Amino acid sequence: MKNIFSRQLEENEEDKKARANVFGPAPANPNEGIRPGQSLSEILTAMKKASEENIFRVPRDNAPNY
Amino acid sequence: MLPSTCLDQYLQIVLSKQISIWADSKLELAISGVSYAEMTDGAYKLKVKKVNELLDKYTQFEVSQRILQGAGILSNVYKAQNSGETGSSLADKIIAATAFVYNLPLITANIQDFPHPFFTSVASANLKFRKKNKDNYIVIDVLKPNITILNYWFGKTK
Repeated sequence: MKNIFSRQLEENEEDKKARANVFGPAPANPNEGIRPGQSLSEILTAMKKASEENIFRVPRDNAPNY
Repeated sequence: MLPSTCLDQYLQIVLSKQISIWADSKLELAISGVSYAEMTDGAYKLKVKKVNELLDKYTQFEVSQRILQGAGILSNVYKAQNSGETGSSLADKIIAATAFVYNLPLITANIQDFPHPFFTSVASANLKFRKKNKDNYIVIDVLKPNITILNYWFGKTK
């Protein structure tokens, strides 16, 4: 979980105020609403397997938005 | 954060490689909870289970009340700014709001769904892949949400 914010963008106090102004105050627990996942290597392995199983292909007739 | 684009298997392999290049061992990828709906839209029932198994591996941002309200705000702000946004879907706005709320960069193959100036590309890669014996290209961008500009235009919508 700690790593998901490793690429969080820099922000100053004004940015924080702007974010709170638009989206409301941040939750007390910064991890609220975040469900931990697995490691990147595990994800990439799963993506490769999913690709081989062709699960990303959606019938175009049934996917007007794609 | 990685939006779920309906990528076919060729693209998915290429994208996996590129993400590996961008990423280091300390980086996690995350998706929005709305990606479950996007990925299973139009999918055969047999594939839905496999899609869920795959997406369960990602760190997931729940679609909270705060994010849903944020998606509505973005819709209004896009219109107010007349950003040239050409009708991004509600799912795209939920993903955009998630990036704003958590202050995280967003990876996409569809930058038109995340309009400038609210999002700015900070890195991009032109990916080549072969499909049906032809070379194809796709541009993947890393976008930065600009909260200062969003706040400015949010003020104008009141």
